[in-house]
Amino acid sequence: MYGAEEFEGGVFHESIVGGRASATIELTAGSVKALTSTDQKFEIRYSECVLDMGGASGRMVFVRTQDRKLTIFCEDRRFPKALQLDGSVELAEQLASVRGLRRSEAFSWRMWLVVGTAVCLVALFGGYYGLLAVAKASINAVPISVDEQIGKLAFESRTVEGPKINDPIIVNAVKEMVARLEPHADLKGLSFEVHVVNSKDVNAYCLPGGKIVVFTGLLKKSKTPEQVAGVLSHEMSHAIRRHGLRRVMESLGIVVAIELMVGDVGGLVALGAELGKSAALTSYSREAETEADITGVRMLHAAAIDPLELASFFEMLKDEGPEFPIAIKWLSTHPQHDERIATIRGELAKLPPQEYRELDIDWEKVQQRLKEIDAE
Amino acid sequence: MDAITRNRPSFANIQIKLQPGDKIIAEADAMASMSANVRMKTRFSGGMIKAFMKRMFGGESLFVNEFSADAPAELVLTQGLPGDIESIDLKGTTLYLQPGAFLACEPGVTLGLGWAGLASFIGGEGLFRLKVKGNGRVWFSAYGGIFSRDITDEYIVDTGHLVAYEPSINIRVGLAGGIFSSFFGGEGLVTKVRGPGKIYMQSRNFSGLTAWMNAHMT
Repeated sequence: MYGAEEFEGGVFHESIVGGRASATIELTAGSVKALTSTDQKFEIRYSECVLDMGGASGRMVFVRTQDRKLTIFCEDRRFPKALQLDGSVELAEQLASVRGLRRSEAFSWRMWLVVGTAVCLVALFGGYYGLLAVAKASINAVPISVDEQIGKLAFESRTVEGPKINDPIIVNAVKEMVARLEPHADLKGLSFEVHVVNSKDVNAYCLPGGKIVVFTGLLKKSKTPEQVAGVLSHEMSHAIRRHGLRRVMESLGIVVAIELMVGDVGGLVALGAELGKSAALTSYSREAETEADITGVRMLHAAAIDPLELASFFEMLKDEGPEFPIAIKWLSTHPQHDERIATIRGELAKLPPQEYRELDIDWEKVQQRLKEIDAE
Repeated sequence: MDAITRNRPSFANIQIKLQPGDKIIAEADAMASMSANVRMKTRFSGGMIKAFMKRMFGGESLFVNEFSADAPAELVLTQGLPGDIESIDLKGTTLYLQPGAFLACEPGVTLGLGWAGLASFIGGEGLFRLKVKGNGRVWFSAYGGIFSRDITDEYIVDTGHLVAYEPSINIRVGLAGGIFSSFFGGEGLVTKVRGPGKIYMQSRNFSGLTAWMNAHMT
């Protein structure tokens, strides 16, 4: 049976005022008929139909005459099916091919979209990480003088932790430790400088370029000078491995990479000084801490100072940590000491046997002076 | 209900003469002036959830205002941008509006939100579009002048210039030229429309204005 179904749609024809009107569409035995809201009747015989699909939804069916002067359109989802059933075989074939064409168009467009997005993402990520890698690789190309400048600015702009200690017994003891370690630093051109500060904090740090700041709290807490040397080897390793500079690089990332490429290090130094103020310059990633531990152990070993003293210092801090809040400072920036003790022992096992020599320091005298300064 | 669009095209506004029983629905904030006897009722634009959807995705305000009067009265509606206002008399037909273009309509017109597709979104035309349907006049506004074009085959419009189109219009996003000229020629992505049907375009592009302002802000 034909002509049972009616669909809502429209007609394009020049005889209609405005060129278009909504219409009721009917599929009859031999043709598509449309009755517009303006009461005009249009008809296209199935044998004359040219089909197309499109519209805002992508599923509007356009039925046209060969000369394209008359177009009947319908968006009803049932319309294509009805057209297939009621129209001729040729029409069904035409509909199938038009559908296929539009689908492949839509597919290829989506394909391009996906491919384009993927390419953009890869380019973005690749570019970003590429530049970051360049930035990291270029650390070695940055002259040591940059580290020194950053260190100098950071040192000057730092919050002073306490009064400077000039007592020769104390300062020379620390200098002796550094002097033993310094020749074994595998970065040439670095000159270490010792500063002792009167503070209860059990802490020490080394700024980029080699400025070492040791707190009297650390000296008092340490049972042997070798323990202090152990901590110093670790801190000096940060400067040797240029972790501060790396921190600056990571903070500025791409900007720095570009600056380095054009040879401008002014921004680097300025940012380093900024970071120094916020102590960000002396708090490193775990990766950097492990690297500093390993470098430190190697240095101690080469300088004939027992690296296990560093491990024993950790153990002592670990045991006493909770009861001595002053110890927390160094621990807070140096967590996971169990792991680190293991790292130290593991690294030590790889090194050849070594005859360790005690440091030429009268530790009792140093402790005595520290007490006297406190009493003053 | 008589309505005249005045001061076209730059500063178009609609002057409406309301007769008793007349009603007009307008975008919130569209009213510029009105007679003292005009009653204004504010309601969600087609229910709360629909209103939220339109607010979020269709660039329309959450509320619409319904104006009516018991005695002859005057109402002036306008838009925020300098530009033209166009009116279309819907006779059971549908029209798609780009986000933010809707200004006012007669009660016989329903406002709906239609999915415009990812292509439209990438082309900067929004993920959704407003679908106005029914019987009655609808007014939409644009930045700059409004001009229409009957499309038979394919036609290219730069993104941001399309304001309204008939449902028989198919929209795709494409490159203006090759990859190089598309991105370095300043045209980037364009909207490819395929007929048959009518499209309405605006002579200015809002993102063009923002870019221009950005460049002049210090």
